[in-house]
Amino acid sequence: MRFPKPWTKKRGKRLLGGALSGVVGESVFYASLLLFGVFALALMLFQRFGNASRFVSDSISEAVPEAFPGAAAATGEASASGLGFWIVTVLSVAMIAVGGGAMLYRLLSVGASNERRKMFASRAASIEFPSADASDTQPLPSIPRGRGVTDSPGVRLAYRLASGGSMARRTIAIAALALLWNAAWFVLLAVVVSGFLSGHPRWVLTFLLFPFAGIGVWAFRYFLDALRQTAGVGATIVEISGHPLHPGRSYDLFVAQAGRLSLRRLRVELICEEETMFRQGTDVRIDRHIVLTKILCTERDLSIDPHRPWEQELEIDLPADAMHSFRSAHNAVCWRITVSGDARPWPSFCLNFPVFVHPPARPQVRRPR
Amino acid sequence: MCRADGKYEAGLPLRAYWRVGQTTIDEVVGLEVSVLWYTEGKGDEDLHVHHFVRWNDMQLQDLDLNSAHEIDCVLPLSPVSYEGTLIRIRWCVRVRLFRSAGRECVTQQPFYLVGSLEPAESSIYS
Repeated sequence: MRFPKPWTKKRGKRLLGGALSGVVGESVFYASLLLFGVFALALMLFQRFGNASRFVSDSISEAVPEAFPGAAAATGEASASGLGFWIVTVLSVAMIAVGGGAMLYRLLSVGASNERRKMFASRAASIEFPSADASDTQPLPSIPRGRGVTDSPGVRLAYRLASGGSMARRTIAIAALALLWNAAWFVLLAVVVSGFLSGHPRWVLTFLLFPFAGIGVWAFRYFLDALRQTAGVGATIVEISGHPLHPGRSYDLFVAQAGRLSLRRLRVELICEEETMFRQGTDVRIDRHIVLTKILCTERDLSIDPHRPWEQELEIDLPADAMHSFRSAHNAVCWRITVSGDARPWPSFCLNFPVFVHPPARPQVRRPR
Repeated sequence: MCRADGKYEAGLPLRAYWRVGQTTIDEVVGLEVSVLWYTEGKGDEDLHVHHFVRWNDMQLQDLDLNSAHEIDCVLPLSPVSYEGTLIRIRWCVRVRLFRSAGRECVTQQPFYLVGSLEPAESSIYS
């Protein structure tokens, strides 16, 4: 029998023990959390509101002798002050909620296999409400439909693609960060000044103002860079002759870049990327890996005039063995067209235009119900 | 499995047979047969059941576990089997046997779901 060693690298099977012992261990842990939360909440409520508060305080002061004078004082302060009461109350409620909810969820999953639960979830998700455009064809499971991509008709080609991330939204977010931080800094500055004026200077806060000012300057410069990028780099237009894309087919692409720009390099690429989401401890992390990069166009030392945008007609040849777009809860395969520029004096920019690749269409075999 | 190479085209039927040997009906309290895909790799596992059949202890009384039973379903058009760097998509037929005293026995037979080799005419969404 091999004993589990939590401090060594996990090898072999994902589970070290049996499934039943795992359920029992989790249930015990969550039940303990729930009960401890109930105990702490009840203790605080009795101390605050109940008649037993005097009895409990006396018992604690008697039970905690002179050997722990600090603990007795801390208990008394925590129970006496309103802030301590609310902190312990909120923590207790959180423990009750987490312990109770998690234990209930874990116990509900006992006796049902993973496949059975997923089957029920799939059936619930497949319930469709009648709509005007409901079609009789079965959709492609786990493939994004990409209806938003074909909402806008193009001028040169069939569809104008929408950018995946708006530069204006990013600029607004950075502006909000910079303004909030600097506003908070000025509030702290007012507190420090009022302290000096009243003859009670706050030295710690005064010294803290210097590093805070450095962060504020950095945030404001970051905001200015984003503003310059948004204002200087004009609109990027990408149009495509067909959508969704299919492996082994060719599509026409039209790319236009407006603005007053002097670019060292402008590149248009077709990219296929894997994206996974996983938990590492308490963090949720996302990892990405580019599977395929096809450079469609590269221009160097380019000058763009506001009256004459840069325009280029390109062609996409999708490989016949290309993987279709895929999205599930934690994993995805994404396709996109990327327009990136190395600009001077403006900061470099990179815009993504998501596209969706479907597997080759085949009429679905229908069976009578 | 009905194909020796284990490759099945998306949108076409899958036919497979299963049977359970070396066990008595008294030991078995439940049986599940499912056709499903799941992901492997760096990310958390995703799982989707395409076809699912379950027998409880009463229904198992009428079932001869030692003889072959058929699984017949039409495979979906997606997702096809995929061998990537961070993500791998696996298809399989999984049989889960519930025995007395909470014991379980799981076995699975992997297969490949591949896309059509014929050129596409149109998308079903268009």
